[in-house]
Amino acid sequence: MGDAAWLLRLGSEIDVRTSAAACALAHRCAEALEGRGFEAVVAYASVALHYDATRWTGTRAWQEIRSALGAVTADGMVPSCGSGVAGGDWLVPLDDPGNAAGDRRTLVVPVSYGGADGPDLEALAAHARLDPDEVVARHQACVFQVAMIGFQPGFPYLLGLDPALAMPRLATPRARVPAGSVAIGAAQGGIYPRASPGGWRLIGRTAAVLFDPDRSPPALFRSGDRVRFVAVSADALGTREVRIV
Amino acid sequence: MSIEVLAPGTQSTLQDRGRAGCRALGVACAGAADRLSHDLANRIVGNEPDAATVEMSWSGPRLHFSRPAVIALCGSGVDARAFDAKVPMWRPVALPAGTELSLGAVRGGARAYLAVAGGIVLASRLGSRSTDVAGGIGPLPGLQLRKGDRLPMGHPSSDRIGSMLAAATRGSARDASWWIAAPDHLGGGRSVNLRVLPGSHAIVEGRSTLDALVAATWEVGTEATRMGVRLEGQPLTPVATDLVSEPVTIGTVQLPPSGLPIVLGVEAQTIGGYPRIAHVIAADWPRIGQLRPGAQVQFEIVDPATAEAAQRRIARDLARLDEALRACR
Repeated sequence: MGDAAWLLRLGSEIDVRTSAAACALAHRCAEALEGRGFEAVVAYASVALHYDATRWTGTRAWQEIRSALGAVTADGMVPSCGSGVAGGDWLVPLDDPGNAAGDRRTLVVPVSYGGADGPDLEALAAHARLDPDEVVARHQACVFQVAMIGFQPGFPYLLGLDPALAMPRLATPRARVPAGSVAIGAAQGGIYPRASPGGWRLIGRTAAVLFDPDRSPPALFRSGDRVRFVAVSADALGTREVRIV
Repeated sequence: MSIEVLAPGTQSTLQDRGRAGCRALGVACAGAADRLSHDLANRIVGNEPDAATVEMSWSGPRLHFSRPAVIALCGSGVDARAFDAKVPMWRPVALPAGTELSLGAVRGGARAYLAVAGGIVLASRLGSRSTDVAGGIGPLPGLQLRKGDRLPMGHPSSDRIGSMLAAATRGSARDASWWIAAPDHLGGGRSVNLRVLPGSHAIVEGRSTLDALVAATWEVGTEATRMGVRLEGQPLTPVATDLVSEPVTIGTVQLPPSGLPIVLGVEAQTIGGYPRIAHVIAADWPRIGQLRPGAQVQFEIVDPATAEAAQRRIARDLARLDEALRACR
């Protein structure tokens, strides 16, 4: 990507398997390139390796990346979309054993569903032709996977939504979505770290602090994490913490 | 001992060289939109390049200095006055205690930078004193400067500036006998040239959107923020729109379905879903930060060797400047 990043692709679809491999590749790159001025950023099916153009030339940065990846991955890579152009993207073999997801954390997030905390629960239930309680039960049964962090600091894009709960985003985004809103946008889940405009359907709210620049680590979620939700009453929301298992 | 904000200006923030290293958390780099002008202002007053400066967009703040200070103003032209006299840019200026510095409209480009010797030493957040307006991260509670804010100044690290400061304290300050030439990236009314490398979607199904991008002349629209700049002109034919979101970076040229390109700035989001037809080379990123509505923009395709040569030229010019500054006494 220009003279400040290289892009590695594992595919061009949004699915749990590709995403898990992308997260594993990103963590692997971040570890291997630590302290050398690179930043690994994962998306659904790709990993960007940003570098400081005042420190590395594109060619030198690419050599660093290839050696960090190791022979197995590096030898299996082929130029991807934009091939033939300088600074183009590279396709990484999806089945590379180095990209197998290792031990991953599961975060259990308390949620107050419906009411003022989830103003779109009823509409989503009607859209899904389900009882609101059934929507809440199905949402808690999902095992989500954090595909990437973006849009806002600490905002997790969650794969693994029960297809019955998918619903298109609002045609006109809300001017203000409260912090902690647990949301559904088309076939994905998400949680808003801070109050902001937003077009996803709000089904509940958590009191968990997703992002705090003065905390270490600042973000609650990491790409590749598994996430489950557990219902609590609105009153008890403030007293229940996120469990990491 | 600090600078008090009497009036904030249109959008004034503290910035340094940015918050690199946090993109995996969804945090933008931020930092000075025109990092070159920021770096030069710091060099003039003997600061480390990463010292925090005040970035002023469109118009500047009015500031009261409770103790003597040595400042430098760099970037696009800004009307600056103190004690009813014009304050020159691109050189160190000693201000006695009690100075009220009035910074007016920014002309030509979009932004100017105020460095003070010793830097502005508010606590850093996530390893940086830069302000990410959209992401809500910065050293000031209001993110942007507000009336009544106090900006603490650090201690000058250079002897040369220290002696200027001592003279200002004695009341015998004289303007420095030297200044540096304004760099050539500051647009200033004429057409701005942005050099690009091809993006992933430069050529889709045999059709080169990149060629169409460089063939046209664009005008900066009304949305020209630290996050990105929307361009106006004859819309390009949109390319595939059902893309899976992928990472983006500063300088990425996106093509949304409207066919009107968006050039991402220092507060670029970390991931985007629009096709990426080109990337502005890092040497030209400061130009993006100086684009103001109505400015003409022309893109030029270069090769990676040219991009590297442009980086080397900047590094060489800065090294020469450092050499020259060491000789100034």
